[in-house]
Amino acid sequence: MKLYLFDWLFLLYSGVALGIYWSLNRHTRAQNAFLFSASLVFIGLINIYWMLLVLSSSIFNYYMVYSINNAEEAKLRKNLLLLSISTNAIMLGLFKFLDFSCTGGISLCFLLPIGISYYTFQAISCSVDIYKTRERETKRKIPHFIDFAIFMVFYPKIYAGPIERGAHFITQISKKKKMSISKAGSAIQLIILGYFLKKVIADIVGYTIKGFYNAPQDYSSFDAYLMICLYSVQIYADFSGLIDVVRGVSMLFGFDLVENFQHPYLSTNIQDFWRKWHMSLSSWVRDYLYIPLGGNRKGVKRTYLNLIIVMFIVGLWHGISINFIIWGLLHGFYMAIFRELNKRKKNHDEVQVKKLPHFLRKALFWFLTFNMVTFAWIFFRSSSLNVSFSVFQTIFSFKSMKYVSDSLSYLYVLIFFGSIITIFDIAQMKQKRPDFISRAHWIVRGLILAFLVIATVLFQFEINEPAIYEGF
Amino acid sequence: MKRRKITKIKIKLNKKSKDIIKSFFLLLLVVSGFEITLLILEKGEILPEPYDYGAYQDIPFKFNEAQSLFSQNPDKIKIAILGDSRPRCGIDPHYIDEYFDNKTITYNLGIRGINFKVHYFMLEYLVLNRLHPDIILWDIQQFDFIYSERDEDIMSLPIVGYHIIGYTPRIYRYRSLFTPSFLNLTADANAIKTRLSKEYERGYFQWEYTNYTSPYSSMTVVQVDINIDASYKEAFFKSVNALENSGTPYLVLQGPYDCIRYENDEALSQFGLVQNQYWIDMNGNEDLMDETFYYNPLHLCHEGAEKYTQFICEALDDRNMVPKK
Repeated sequence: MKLYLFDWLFLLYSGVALGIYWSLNRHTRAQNAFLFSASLVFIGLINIYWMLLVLSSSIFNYYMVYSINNAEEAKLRKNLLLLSISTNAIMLGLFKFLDFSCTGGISLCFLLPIGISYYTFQAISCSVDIYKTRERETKRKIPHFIDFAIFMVFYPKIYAGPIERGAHFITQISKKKKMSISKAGSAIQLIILGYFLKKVIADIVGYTIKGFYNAPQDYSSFDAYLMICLYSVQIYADFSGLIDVVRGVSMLFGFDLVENFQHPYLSTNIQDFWRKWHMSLSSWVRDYLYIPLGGNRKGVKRTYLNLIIVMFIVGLWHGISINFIIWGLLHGFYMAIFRELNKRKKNHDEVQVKKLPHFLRKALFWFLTFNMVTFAWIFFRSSSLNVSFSVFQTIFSFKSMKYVSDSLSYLYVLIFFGSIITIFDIAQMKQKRPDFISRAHWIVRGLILAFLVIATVLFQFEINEPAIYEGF
Repeated sequence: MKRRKITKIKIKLNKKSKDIIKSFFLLLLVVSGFEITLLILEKGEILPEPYDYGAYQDIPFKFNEAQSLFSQNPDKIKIAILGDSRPRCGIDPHYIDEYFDNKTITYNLGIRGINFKVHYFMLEYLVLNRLHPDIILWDIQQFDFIYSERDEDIMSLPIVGYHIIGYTPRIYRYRSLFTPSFLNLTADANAIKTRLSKEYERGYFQWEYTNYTSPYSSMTVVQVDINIDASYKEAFFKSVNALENSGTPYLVLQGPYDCIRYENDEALSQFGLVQNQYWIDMNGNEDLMDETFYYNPLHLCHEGAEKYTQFICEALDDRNMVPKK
């Protein structure tokens, strides 16, 4: 059964589940047990084997967390931690490899289990956190199995995260849930915004560039550049729309999920971009990879190497493919180069661009950052390395425009949707919160929501394209 | 006597909650207002069809019928026939379905008098993005490059729409939030619907043989002198691209003429784009020379249509495009 997040079946399922869930509000345990079952049924409806896999993973990881916490000897705790990390990493790697082998023509062909990249990372973080706490203090209270399992299988976030931490999510599970009008209102606002971003912006932009990545050589250089910029718009609208819906539905269940985006395309350097893009993943790799590898504490060269290793793993997390690896490595190099330049700037304080006015300097850095990210997306989006090279070749061959009308239409699409995204991001930046609509006057808020609903109804695609990050 | 106490339930709401309720009430009001306005406009027949189909009222009619037929047969292999008047009366959908033991469900979307601009419009905006067939039979001919003034309107609308906001200029769902999508694309008047439903059988227009006699006794090559406008080449090129990028299996056909092989160098060089293993060229095919197969030099009658459709079925079978019988 296909159950996409942007499908009326998902909303119907959530509606029924919410009804039952809140009717059990007096009994938190029963409420949690229901949520756990509803999540398992949901995954089971998509694929029964995926349900069994996530259930086994939950049991195994709960046992690991429990054992690490109860082990008296430090050596045993360490071994258990290594066992937990390696088992999760092997399981993730194996399924990613089997998924890769599907495209590689090898007969071992499995569908990548839904959400595996997210819940294995969550499980690893939980084991590491328990281990670290146990090193400092005596035993801590381990959550009930059902609470831990909800942390792993909670169905709205199984699709695309965000990657939650135990300390943030599990503590919410055991508490008695409260719902208020303002909270429900914010949740519905997020869902409306998410639908608009995905069904209108991401799908329309995605449709516009669909043909390009099949035959980039047929396009002019200008068109090709517009296309890669459009992909930047698509992936952002697609992923942030997805997360908005996930956060909105979770909020209706009484959970606050971590933010995943903070206007990343307004960043003026690559480090800033990674602080604001897919924040749950970037903070995860910072805490559980970059810092354990030594971070910036082991000298300059080691810091650069660590950055490259971490971004390489971020690339691999998306899938075992040379394109994802190059995308990750490219970002690793960007980060290392940025760090080096930043260091020189601090040491010498004589960077030429400082002579430029503040606004122009910001605009220049923004342009550079956006283009670095956009060019890296070429590897992310292309189906193969040959296609990526073909895109680069088309852009830098300076081929003249074929059909001016087509080029203008791509430009209109970019300006139109790029502006909407930018306006949303600026509003979010000013309000310092993703549900920026909540801060507006009620008339403005009502009109914005009405615009979003009408636009989604009018312009949404009838094709149910799964979101890009539903595939990881 | 005991006095019954009437308890008043007072819900205290803070300003934030009140504002939320007010904004959602406004949202409901605006969306309902929008819906009611559209309903009034539609009832008053003020709201026009977003596309002006001009002479091509068959397009919305056939599209609706095909969509309905395909949705009623979700388990069958959906075949859509696309082209001008020649496939319209030259390819029998029933024959295809019978040939493949009714594993397929076929609809003939052939529209008389259309050229490549309309082919492209139908292919890109209606067939590929809304109808989603499993196989497309695209019947083309060199005369589809001919300029026609009346096509300007139909083509300008979707192109303008596409250029402004870049989405498939499908029929806007402005009729109602609750209107099923298949009702969005409608022919203007019921009279047209009734006429067309009598005229077509799954989009196929059946022509009986009416004692047509061929002016030629043997195969004759006729050079066609037409100047091909660049915009028609562009439309053809875009159609081929759209078809290839869609990933939908397709067969490109050039149907037969009575004892004539039409040739236009410029058109034929364009056809080079589709001359691969999925290209069937019946232009000048001697198996279809019999004059009883024709209604007129350009169009097959029912007998000829059966023969031509048989060739197509065999071609589909040879290429394993439809599961074996």
